[in-house]
Amino acid sequence: MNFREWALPVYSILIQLAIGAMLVLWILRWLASTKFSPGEMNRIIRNPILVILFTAIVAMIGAHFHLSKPFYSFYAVSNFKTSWLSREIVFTVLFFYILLALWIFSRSKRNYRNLVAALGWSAILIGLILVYCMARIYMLPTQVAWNTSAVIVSFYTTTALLGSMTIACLLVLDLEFAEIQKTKDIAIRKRVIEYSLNWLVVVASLAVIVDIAVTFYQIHLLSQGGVISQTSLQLLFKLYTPLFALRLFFIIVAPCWIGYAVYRMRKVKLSLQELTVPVYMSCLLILVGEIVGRFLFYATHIRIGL
Amino acid sequence: MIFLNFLYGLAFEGLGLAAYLQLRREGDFPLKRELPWLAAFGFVGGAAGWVDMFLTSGSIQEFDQILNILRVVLHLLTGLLLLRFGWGMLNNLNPLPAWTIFIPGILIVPIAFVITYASTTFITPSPIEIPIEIWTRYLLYLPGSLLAGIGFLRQWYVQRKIKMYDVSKLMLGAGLAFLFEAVVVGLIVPAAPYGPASYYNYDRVIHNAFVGETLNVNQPYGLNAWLDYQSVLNTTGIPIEIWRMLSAAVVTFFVVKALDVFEAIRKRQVQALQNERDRAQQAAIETQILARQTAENWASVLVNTSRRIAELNDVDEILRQIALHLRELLDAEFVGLALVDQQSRNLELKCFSNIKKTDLMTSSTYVVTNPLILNSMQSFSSYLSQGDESREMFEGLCFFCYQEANAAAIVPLKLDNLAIGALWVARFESRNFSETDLIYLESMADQVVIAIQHGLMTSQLQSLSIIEERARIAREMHDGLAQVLGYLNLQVQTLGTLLKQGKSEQLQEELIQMRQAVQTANADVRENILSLRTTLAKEKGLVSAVKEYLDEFGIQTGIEIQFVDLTEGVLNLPSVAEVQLVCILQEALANVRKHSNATFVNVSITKIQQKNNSEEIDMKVDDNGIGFTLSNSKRSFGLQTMRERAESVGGSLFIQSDPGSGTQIECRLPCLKQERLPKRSVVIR
Repeated sequence: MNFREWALPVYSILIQLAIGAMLVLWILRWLASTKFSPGEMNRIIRNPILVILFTAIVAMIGAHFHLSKPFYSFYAVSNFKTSWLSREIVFTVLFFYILLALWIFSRSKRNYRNLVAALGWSAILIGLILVYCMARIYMLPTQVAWNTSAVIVSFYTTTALLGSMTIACLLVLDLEFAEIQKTKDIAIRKRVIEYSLNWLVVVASLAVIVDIAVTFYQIHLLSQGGVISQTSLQLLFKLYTPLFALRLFFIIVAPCWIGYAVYRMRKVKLSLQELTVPVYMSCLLILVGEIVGRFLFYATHIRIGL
Repeated sequence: MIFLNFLYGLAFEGLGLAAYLQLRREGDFPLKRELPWLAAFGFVGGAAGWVDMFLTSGSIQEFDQILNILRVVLHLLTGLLLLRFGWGMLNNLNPLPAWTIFIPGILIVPIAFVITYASTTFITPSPIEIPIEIWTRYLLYLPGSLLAGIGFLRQWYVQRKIKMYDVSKLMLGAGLAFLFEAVVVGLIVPAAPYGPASYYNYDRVIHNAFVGETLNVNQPYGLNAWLDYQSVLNTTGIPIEIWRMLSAAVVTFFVVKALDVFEAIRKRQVQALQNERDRAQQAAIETQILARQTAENWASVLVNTSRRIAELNDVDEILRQIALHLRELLDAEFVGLALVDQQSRNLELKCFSNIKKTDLMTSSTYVVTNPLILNSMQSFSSYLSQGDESREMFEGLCFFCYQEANAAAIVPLKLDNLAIGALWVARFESRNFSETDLIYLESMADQVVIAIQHGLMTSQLQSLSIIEERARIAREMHDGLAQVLGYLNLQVQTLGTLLKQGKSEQLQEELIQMRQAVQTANADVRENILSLRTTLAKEKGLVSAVKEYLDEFGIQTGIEIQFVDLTEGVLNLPSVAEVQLVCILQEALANVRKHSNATFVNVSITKIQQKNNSEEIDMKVDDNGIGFTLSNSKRSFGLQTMRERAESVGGSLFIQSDPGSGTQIECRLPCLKQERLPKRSVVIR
C-alpha cells in the first residue's frame, strides 16, 4: 500500500476509535452515575471527551489524503440520497460538530447537565449510523470479499473493542495526571477506574470473541465463494499468514493481559504504576491487531469489474 | 571492514565497561540509576559489532546461520536497551512536566500504525534481515538515541542552572553525540523498496509488493534524497561503519568524562560538606566560649557587687559601678537608674552611664517621665522592646545623649512590694535586647535594691553607733567630769570655811588636790574631744588617722609617742575592723594616760603573713609605765571591752603586764582575703 492508500485505514480506524470511545464512555457515565455523583463524573469525562474530539479531527484530516483533490472534498456530500460515501462524510462532520458542542458545554461553568447528556447520546447515535455507512461503502458487488454482512459486524466489533481499550487507557492516564497535580477528587477517580475497568474488560473480551467469530465466518464465506473469493483466501493464508497470526495473537493477548491486571487489582490492590503498563500495552496490542486486521481487509480484496 | 567492526565493538565495550565500573563506586549522582542500562547497551552493542566482524570476515562460515540469528537478536536487544536508557535519561533523572503523561497516550496511535506498517514490510522480496535491521534502527535505535540525546541535553540545562559548568559542557557533548548517533545509526538504513527507506535511499521507486505494482516517483517527500550507505560514502568519502564507530567513540568519550566529572564533583561536594561541618563545629565552639565568657563576666560582676554590698561600701559607688558594668556587658549606649523621691513623689534620675561618662546625680534633679518606665513600675513587670514601638515611646529614656533610643529593657526596683524606682538600658540602634539580657538586668536590679537596703541599714547602724557613743560620753562625763565638778563644788565650800578659819596650810593642800582633780578632768575632756574628732575618712585612711591621733595625744598628755607603721599604708581591713582598731587604740592610750604613769609609748602596726596565706594586722601598744597585775586590775572592764571589740571582728587581744615592767597590749585583726579585696571587675572580651 502506498501513502494514499494508508489514509483509508487511518481514517476508518481513528473514527471508529472515536465513536467506540464515545459510546463506551457515555455508557460508563450512565452506569456510574448511580454510584457516583453526576458532577464528579462530568469532571472525570472532560479530558477523554477532548481526546475523542481530537481523534475525530485527525481522522477527518487523514481522510483528505485519500482524495486526489482534497480541497474539493465538500463536493462529495452532494449525493447524500444515493451515496453511502456522501452519507459517511455528512455523518462524520455531524459527529464532529456534536462532539465539539459537547466539549464546550461540558466545560462551561453553568450547569448544562441535561444538554450535555442529550449531546452525548446524540453523538453516539450519529456515530453508530456513521459506522454503518462506512461498512456499507465497502459492500459492493464488485468487491466480492467485502460484500457480506460480516463487514458490518466486524466494523461494530472494532468500534467496541477500540473504544473500550481507549477509554481504559485514557482513564488511567488521566488518573496519573490527577495524582501528579494533586487534585482533590483522586479517590473518586480511583474508584471510578476500578468500577470501569471491570466493565471495559468484559466489553473488550466480548468484542474480541465476536471479532474472531466474524473473522472465521468471513473466512468460511470466502472459502465457499468463487474464484475471486478463493484468491483472496489464498492471499490471506499464503502471503499474509504471519500478519494474520500476529493479529489474532495480539487481540487475544491484550484482553487477557488487562483482565489479569484487573483481577490482581481487585485481589492485591495494585498501585497505579503497576496498572498503567498492562492497560497501555493492552491498548497498543489491540490497536496494532485491529490496524493489521484493517490492512488485511484492504489487502485481501480483489476488485472485479469497475 | 573487519578492523572497523572490531573498533566499533571495542568502542561500545569500552562504554559498557566504563559505565559498569562507575556503578561500583560509592555515592549518588545523576545518571547512576541509568548506568546499568547504559552498561548493558554498551556490552550488547559491542558484542553485536564483533558478531558483524566475524560475519564480515567469513572465517567461521559453518556458523554463519547462527551468527546471523545472533546478530539479529543482539541488534534488537541493543536497540531495546538503548531505548530503555534513553527513556530513563529523559524521564527518570528529572521528572518531566505533568502534561507529558499524555504523550504516550497520544503517540499510541501513531506507534500502532508504524508497527503495523513495519510488520507489513516483512512481506517483501527482500531478505528478512533487511527489514529487521531497518525497523530496528527506525523503531529502536532512532527513538532511543533521540531520547538519550534529549535526556543529556536536559541534563546540560539542569547542570547549567546549578552552575556546574564543567559537567554541563560534557552533558551537551554527550547529548549532541547521541543525536549524531541517531542520524548515523538510526536514520541511515540499508536500501529497501518501502518507505520511509525507499523515499530517499532506493531507486526512487515505490514498490507495492502486495499487488505487484511499481510506481515511479519523481518528487522527493521532503527528506534528503539518497541517504543510504552508498550516498554517505560518495558524499563524505567515509563508509557509514566509520561514522558509526566514530559516533560510538564520541558517545563513550563524553559519557565516561561526565562520569569522571561527577566523581570529582562528588568528592568536591563531600569536601565542601566536611569543610562546612568543620566551620559549623568551630562556630559552635566559639559560641560556647562566648556564652561561657559572658556568663563568667556576669558572675564576676554579680559577685563583686554582692561583696561590696556585704562590706558596706559606699552605696553611691556601688550604684555607679552597677551602671557602668551594665552598659559594658549589655553593649548598651545608656543605662539609667531612677529612684522615687519620698517628698515630691517624682521619679528622679539617680545614676546614669553613657558612652562619655558614668555619674551620680548629686546636684541636679532630672525627673523621669518616660511612659514605658512609669508603666513598668506601676505594673511591677519588666519590659523588653520588640522593635515595633513608635519612636515617641522611647523619648526621655536617654539623658545627656544626642540620640534617642530605639531599643530598651526596663526593670522596676521593688522593695517590700513597693516600686521604689527603675533600672533600664537603652540602645540607639534598633537591636533589641534579648530575654537573657533582661534576666541579667533583673539580677542587677535586685543587687541595686539590696545595696539600697544595706545603705539604709548602715545609716541606721551609724545612727545607733552615734547614739551609743554619745551614751558612752555621757556616761564618762557622768563618771568623770560630773564627779569632779561635784567634788570641786564641795571643795570650794571647804576652801571658804578654811579661809574663814584662817587655816592657810590646810587651804594650800586642798587647793593642790583641787588642781589635780581639775587637771584630770581636763585631760579626760580633751581625750573625749580627741576621740570625737578622730575620723576614718576614706581619703586619709586608717594609718593617717592613727598618726594624727597619736600626735595630738602626745601633745595633750606630754607622753612621748613613737609610731611605727610597717604596713606601707595598706591595711586591707574591713571598715568595721578599722573602727574597732581605732577604738582599741584609744582605750589603750586612755589607760596609759590614766593608770600607767608612762613617759613613753610605742605604737606599731605591722602585717603578719600566716601559714594559710591569710594576713593579719598586728597593733602593739607598749608603754614604760608601772604595769599592773592582770587579775585584780582596776582596768579589767576597759580591757574586757577592748577584747570584745577585737573578737567582734574576728580578731584577738593579748595583754602582757607586770608591775614595774610596763604594759604591752597586742591586738590582731584579720585582713580581707585576696579575692575580697576591692578591685575593678575584669570583663573578659
